[in-house]
Amino acid sequence: MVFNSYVFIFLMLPISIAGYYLINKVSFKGGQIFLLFSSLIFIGYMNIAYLFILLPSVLVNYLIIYMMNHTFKAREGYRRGLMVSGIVLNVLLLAVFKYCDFFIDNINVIFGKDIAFLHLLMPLGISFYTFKQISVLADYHKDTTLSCTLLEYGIYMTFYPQFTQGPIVLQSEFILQLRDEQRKSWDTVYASKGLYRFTIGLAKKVLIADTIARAVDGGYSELDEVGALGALVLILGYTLQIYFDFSGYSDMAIGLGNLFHIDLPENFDSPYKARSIDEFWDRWHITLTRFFTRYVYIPLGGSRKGHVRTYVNVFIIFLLSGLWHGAEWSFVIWGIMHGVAMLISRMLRELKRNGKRDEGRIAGILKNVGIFLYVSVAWVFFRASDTKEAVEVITKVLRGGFDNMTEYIYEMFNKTVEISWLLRLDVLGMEDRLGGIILILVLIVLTLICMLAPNSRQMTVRWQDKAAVSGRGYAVSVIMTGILFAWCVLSLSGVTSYVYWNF
Amino acid sequence: MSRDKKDIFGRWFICTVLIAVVLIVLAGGLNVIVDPYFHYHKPIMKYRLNDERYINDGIARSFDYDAVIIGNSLFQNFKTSQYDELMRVKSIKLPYSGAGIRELWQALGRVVGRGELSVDLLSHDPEDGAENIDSYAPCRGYNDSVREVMICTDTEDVLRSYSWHRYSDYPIYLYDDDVLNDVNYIFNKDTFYRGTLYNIGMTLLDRDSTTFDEYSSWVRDSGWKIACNGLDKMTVRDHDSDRQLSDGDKERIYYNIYTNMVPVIKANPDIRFILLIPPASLAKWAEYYSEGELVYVLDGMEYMLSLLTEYDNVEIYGFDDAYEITGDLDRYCDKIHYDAGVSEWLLEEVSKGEHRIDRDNYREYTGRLRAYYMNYDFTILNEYIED
Repeated sequence: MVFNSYVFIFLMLPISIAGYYLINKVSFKGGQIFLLFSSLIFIGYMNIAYLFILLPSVLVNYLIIYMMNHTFKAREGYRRGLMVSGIVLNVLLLAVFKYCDFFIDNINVIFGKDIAFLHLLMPLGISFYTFKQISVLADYHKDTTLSCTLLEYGIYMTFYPQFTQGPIVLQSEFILQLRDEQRKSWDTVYASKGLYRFTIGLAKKVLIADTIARAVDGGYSELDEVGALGALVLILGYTLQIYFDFSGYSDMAIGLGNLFHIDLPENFDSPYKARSIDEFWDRWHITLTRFFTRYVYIPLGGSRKGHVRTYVNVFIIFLLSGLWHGAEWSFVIWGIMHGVAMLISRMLRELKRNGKRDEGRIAGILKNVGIFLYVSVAWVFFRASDTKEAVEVITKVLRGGFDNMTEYIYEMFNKTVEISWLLRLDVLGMEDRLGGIILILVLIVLTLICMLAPNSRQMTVRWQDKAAVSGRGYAVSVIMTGILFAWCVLSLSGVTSYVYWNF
Repeated sequence: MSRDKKDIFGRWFICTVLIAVVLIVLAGGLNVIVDPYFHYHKPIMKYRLNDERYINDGIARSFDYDAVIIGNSLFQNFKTSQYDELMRVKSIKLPYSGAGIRELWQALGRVVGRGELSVDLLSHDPEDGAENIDSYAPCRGYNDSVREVMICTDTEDVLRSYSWHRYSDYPIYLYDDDVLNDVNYIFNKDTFYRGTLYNIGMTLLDRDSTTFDEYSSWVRDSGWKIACNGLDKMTVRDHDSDRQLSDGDKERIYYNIYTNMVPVIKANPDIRFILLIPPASLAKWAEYYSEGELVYVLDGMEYMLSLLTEYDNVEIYGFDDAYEITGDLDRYCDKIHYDAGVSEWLLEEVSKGEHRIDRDNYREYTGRLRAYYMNYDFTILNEYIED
């Protein structure tokens, strides 16, 4: 099940929230059991087989942490052994389901074999829950988290608002909130904040990301027809699409958490405002950066073992990050690009350490634009179906010749109801060219929004401080949020024009 | 937090949810009442016919008719008014732009009903058959009164795999009787804006509804250069190295006909099925020629005709030997799409029984085509072909 679906918004969301609070009134434990079952329904709705992998994995991990905490509490060697075994098991599970075909493909290429692909079903959220399980094992080993019951652990692992795409919440952050008696009852402030944040996220996903996706998908499906300008539009379009899509989903997750009276960690903080690659990673997928820092970078020695080792550690993190995002070499290249940028950034910082001076406004803007461009080019490897396609897109831009964009890019984009309204503004009689021009203008406006406007968290804080109090702002925020929510729901399904290119 | 502040936020939550619910229900309710794709009922106000794959099934469900014209873009310019007059029927037009055999016959099966498959689909193509088997299940049609169907039978489409189709993200919710998945139709901004609001606007402004003559019809620039667009310069070649029709090709054609067409034909012995093979332009035949596919296409056509002429309720009309049409590229806007005048002429010919192909003359028909196109000097097209 996904958040941006009718079944979720009309059934899952109201029933799970109402059921949770109603049962909480009678029994706190009953409410927790209901929450666990809601999450299992959410996960199993798409494919019940997901649960057959998730549940044993959760049980085995719980058994390991239980043994670490109870049976072998005083025996460090056993505890360490259990942690290592647990981590290996989790990584193996991920490797089997996510990377098996990738390994086979590489073996076939390198050794000239013809081993058949397994085409295993990749369980929903496995990348995320594997990392969560690893974090729990490490935290238990270090005694930096709380012991919990199987029910609490189950809810932590499966809590549906953050199950599929994060944020990667830590057990210590979650369990305390789950146990808090104060949080078991409906809280209007949290609920309103949650609804507001969820609506922003839904709009980012449904109205913005999915609309841009029409252009990006159209271009990538007919790449041969795409020229330099078209390739540039595809690069910028995907840069925006992935941000609005992923951060929108995170906003929805955080909003849903609030509706359950639970705070989930922030995952995005205006990443395209970053002026260095380090800053970008402090702002993009924040909880993943936190995971890699705590559970990979620091155990590898972090920056405590000299410059060279630090650089190696940083590079390993980004290599792993690339591979974690997808079982394709193009993702590895994406990771390497970020790793290399990170190393250069650190080296430059080291060089400048003694001569530090205030950064001018212009320099700051230029750095922001530079990082945005670099990140955008790296995203090409993330979006393209393989490395060859990514190189083709970048080469098209480098070749130049900014002639007309192909209609494959904007044809479907223009069919969006809201965009079709804009097309009616053809006062200059530009006709066919207007479609491409509007797409470019929309992308430019969205880029400026990403670089200059407040983000969802800041908007929510402002709303809570100002708009959601009595007065004119209050009425406006009620009406606007209600309309936006309805608009998003009505946009979940559309009418596709089946464009047969000849006819 | 103070009690007052909690109340303020509580009111904010309730009011916001109320506004959202009211708007969603209002839009959804209007969509159901107006029902622009006729999924629930006949039109109750002026309407626009567009979005073929969304509206066609509703037309078939809700309109009154006893004949069906169904085809891909080659049928879009057919006029039901002319057809009705010539054939003395009351017809609807169901155009599916870019559709292949499977899509057309599955749509037709929903209209008139479909019988059992007489071939073992799963053993033929386990990869594709398994996921599509439901699409070939027997079904009752929407309309028992249909007595005549005219359907596009493009040879190239028949030569393709039985499961060939161009589009995958189909609006299934408009094609089944599952009420729950109708949320995709009811709470749909596009339905509301492109359908409901548009129809309300047409009614308020007293605009005429779209006729089936107008529905999906088009006018495009045509001409020799336009029709030859995409062709490479023609050279004279012999047919020794031409692709031949293999046993595998024959099996594919057989499966296409027996999975998609025959279950509908056999389930409706009282319906007259008019299978129209549209006239491909000289430029299309030139393409077959230059790609060495002429023998393959003509032999494939002959095999197709040998299978389809077996059924008494099937009438086949072929126009590839109408050289005054296929050779006049001023009437084509690409290699296959002819203008509205040709569409009109085709209906007249069918009504007169001209160009009919049956089990006695189909070899003669393909023989004529063979003699003509295999010996044609396609280099005369070179002056219209751009380098």
